[in-house]
Amino acid sequence: MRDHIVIIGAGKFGSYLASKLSADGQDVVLIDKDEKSFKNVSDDFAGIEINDDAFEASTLEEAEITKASQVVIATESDNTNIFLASICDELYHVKKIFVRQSNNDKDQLFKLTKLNVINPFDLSIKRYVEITSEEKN
Amino acid sequence: MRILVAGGRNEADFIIKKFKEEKHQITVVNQDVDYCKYLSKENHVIVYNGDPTLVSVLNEAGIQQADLVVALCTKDEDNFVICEVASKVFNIPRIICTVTNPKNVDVFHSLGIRSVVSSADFLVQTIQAEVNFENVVKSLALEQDKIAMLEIKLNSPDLAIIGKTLAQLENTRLYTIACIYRKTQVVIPSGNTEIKYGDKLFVVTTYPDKDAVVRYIQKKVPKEREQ
Repeated sequence: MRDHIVIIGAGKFGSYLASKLSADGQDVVLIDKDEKSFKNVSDDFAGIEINDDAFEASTLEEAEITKASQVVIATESDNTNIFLASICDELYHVKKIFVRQSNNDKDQLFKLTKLNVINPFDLSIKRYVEITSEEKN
Repeated sequence: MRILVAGGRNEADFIIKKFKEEKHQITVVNQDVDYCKYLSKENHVIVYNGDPTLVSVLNEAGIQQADLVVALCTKDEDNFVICEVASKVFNIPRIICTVTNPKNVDVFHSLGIRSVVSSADFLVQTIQAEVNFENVVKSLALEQDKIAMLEIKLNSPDLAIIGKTLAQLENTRLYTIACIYRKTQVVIPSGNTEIKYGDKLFVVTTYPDKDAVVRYIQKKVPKEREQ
């Protein structure tokens, strides 16, 4: 069965992920309030693009958020991402929530949540450590 | 009480002055450099220039010692994050925040933030109160604003003035009830005319006293204290 996946934020990460998941056959909805952001989406994207503010309940409802098996929140603002993640969790009870974190300042806050945090900085460090320790062995 | 004020501009200014009058200890965290300079000159408060949504900035500003955090940023998501950081990371007992979008009052409540103020809601309430007041009291200024003629509808049964005769009224040197419009009749009152619920009073007073007169006539019967 196809998964219904909602992605909020059509930056490079959100757009690329939406294109990939759509190519994999998933049912994808991509939301961004800035129309220009959608230029990053691949031409064969078969999902739905919603050009509206995700803070409006009507936008999330149009995206059928309650049917989503997962939501990926990747706007450029950590504060927006945190607020949206809380809304998706507490108000719409989405089972799996991914949040992109760009500034490590709020590590303590993220650790207190059950969100799946994707932090490019941490991933880079982790990868560096992996490679260097592989070389040592 | 130690209060940390995060973000905001005009409302922050006002709140800071109020808090200072009440001898609270204030720390301000604000992103705007010029505003911070102005505040540190004006109010003798501790000012930190930085993004008030960052854990590191709040930590440096000594948020741990705060008894109350007030979040006044213009973006609702910023205030949400300040509330989350203050309550979850720093265990601050009391947090108050404003929201720009009135719909977010309910959203914040559902997300566990109890004290949320929407300035738009306040504005609506204030306008409604003004509009109601205008409907009840009409005033006419005569002789270059020296004399005021008021038309006051007694549209609440619990006014203290109801049931009294004109002779029993207080402060009568400030005003005269010249005429009463009762149902469809015009009553020219004497000292033993009783004031009734639903009456429309035509009151003559001096312009400077008119607000005091309106307050007296609209005063409600004090509620009995609960035991």
